[in-house]
This record gives sequence, structure tokens and C-alpha cells, in this order.
Amino acid sequence: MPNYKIADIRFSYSFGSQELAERLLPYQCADSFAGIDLTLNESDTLDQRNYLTSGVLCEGVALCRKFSDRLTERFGGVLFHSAAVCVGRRAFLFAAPSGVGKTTHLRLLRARYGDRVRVINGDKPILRAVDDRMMVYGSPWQGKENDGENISALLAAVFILCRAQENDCRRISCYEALPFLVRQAAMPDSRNGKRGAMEFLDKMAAAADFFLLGAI
Amino acid sequence: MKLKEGYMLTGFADKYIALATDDNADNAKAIVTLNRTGAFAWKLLETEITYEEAIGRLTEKYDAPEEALRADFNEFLETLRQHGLLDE
Repeated sequence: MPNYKIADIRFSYSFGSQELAERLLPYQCADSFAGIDLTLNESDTLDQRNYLTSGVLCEGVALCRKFSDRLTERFGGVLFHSAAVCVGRRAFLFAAPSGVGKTTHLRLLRARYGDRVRVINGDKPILRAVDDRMMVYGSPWQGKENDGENISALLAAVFILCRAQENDCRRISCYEALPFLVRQAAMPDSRNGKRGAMEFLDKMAAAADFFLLGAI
Repeated sequence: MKLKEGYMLTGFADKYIALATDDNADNAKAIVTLNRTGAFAWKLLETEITYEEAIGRLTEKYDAPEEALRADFNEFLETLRQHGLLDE
């Protein structure tokens, strides 16, 4: 069974879908240490089958969910729905529900900053608190644009995107940001998992600056 | 009276927040921000308690005039009612 490493978490997994296996190829590692076992069982995939017909999507979503749950329950991290970019060693998140403008902002950032900006992940980067540092990692779940790479950087700021009458950016408190953070963080179903996610958001509040970015 | 099931209290920055642990809870999107006193009152309401029992616990805990504590507690209960978090 091949071994993989995402956000410095090792796991073993055997794919049913070749397409998914190729998407995880950048995360394959040669270590013999197997790490956690993320083999999917019937109950992992059952929920996804209710609303997804594609087998590839089903397996991808189920694996994402299982990894995300373990990440939050055991490894002090969350999968955070946002576009993550880095400039040098510092990472910036652009968080918004689908359709509000994450992809547009990535395009604008690339146009403005060129090669200085790198996309860590266009849809679901992984955040982890490692040795008191808040790190942003790439993940294979890169959204419909499949934008991102297997790199990491230190979290500096979170921009919450919203539609507005005019272009505007203002700093907000972590309390004002909280409802958005709760909405964008992948929450496990279990009570312990949710507590782990909230403990993580508490650390995130201390580590990052938050901004509300309104765009026409 | 008692808080509805399916919510949890957790620390966030310098405050406490209460949020749903069950996506199917009546008010799953509600996030209530509490200060230290609010968090103490929240914990009181996690088990069945009468209004007067709660006031008694608050007067034991805090060195403040009872009338002021009653006013603050009434306001707190009203906030919980507005969010649909209280079973009475």
C-alpha cells in the first residue's frame, strides 16, 4: 500500500480510482513508516453516495473527509475552505463561500505580483499549529481549478471576502471574524472533534490578523 | 430551566463562545459570545436549575448587589431566549 505525507502527516492508502491516485502523487513519500491508515469503509462512502454520482468524486470527498476528521481530532489542525497563497515565507488566506471571488482574487494577485506569489492551495489548504507556529500546507483537494502545490508557509493574515458597494479593506477583530472562521473550517461530526476545531481556531485567533475585504 | 442539548462552551481569545455541536440543532448557526460571568451562568444552566437557585449561586460567586446580578442575569436569559437556546 503506498504511503503519503500531507501537512507532515503520514498515512497509507490504496486507491480505487487511478485519477485520484495521480492527484495524490505529489504527496507520495518513500518512508517505510506507514502512519495512520485511511482505508475507506462502507460507512465513510455511504454519505457521499447520497448526493454524488461520480465514483471518483465520491472517493475523493470521502478520503478528504476522513483525513480532515483525523487531522482535527489527533493532529491539531483543520482543513480550511479558502484560497491560500504565499509571498516568501508568509501565507495569506482568502476565505469565502464558493462563487464569491476566491479564484478571481488569485488571478488578480498573480497579475499584480507575478512570480512573487505562489498558490499553496486554491480551495482547501490545511492549517496546523506546529511548535507554536501556525502553518499553512498544500493539500490534494485543490478545487475545480486544481490550483496549488505541495508547499507550506507561516500564516500571516486571513482576508474574508464579501460582495460590497465599493472596494474596501478593513481590519476586524477575531470576534468579528469568528462566524466566518467557524463556517470555513471543516468541522468533524463528533463533539470531541468540534472541540478540537474550536481549540484550533482559538490558536488561529492569536496567530493571525483578520481583514474584511469587500469587492464590487 | 435548562440550556438546550447540543451546544458547547469553549474559550476563544479573551472570551468564551457557545456554539452548536449538532448541525441539526434548532439554531445550529448561533454563536453566542460570553464574558467570564456569562460563562459561569452558562455552566449553571447546563443542568436543570430554577431561577432563584441560579441567582443564589451567582450571589455566592460574585461580590455585587443582588439587584444588579438579577438585572444582568435577566438580560443573559433574554439573549439565550432570542437565540432559542433555553428550555423553560
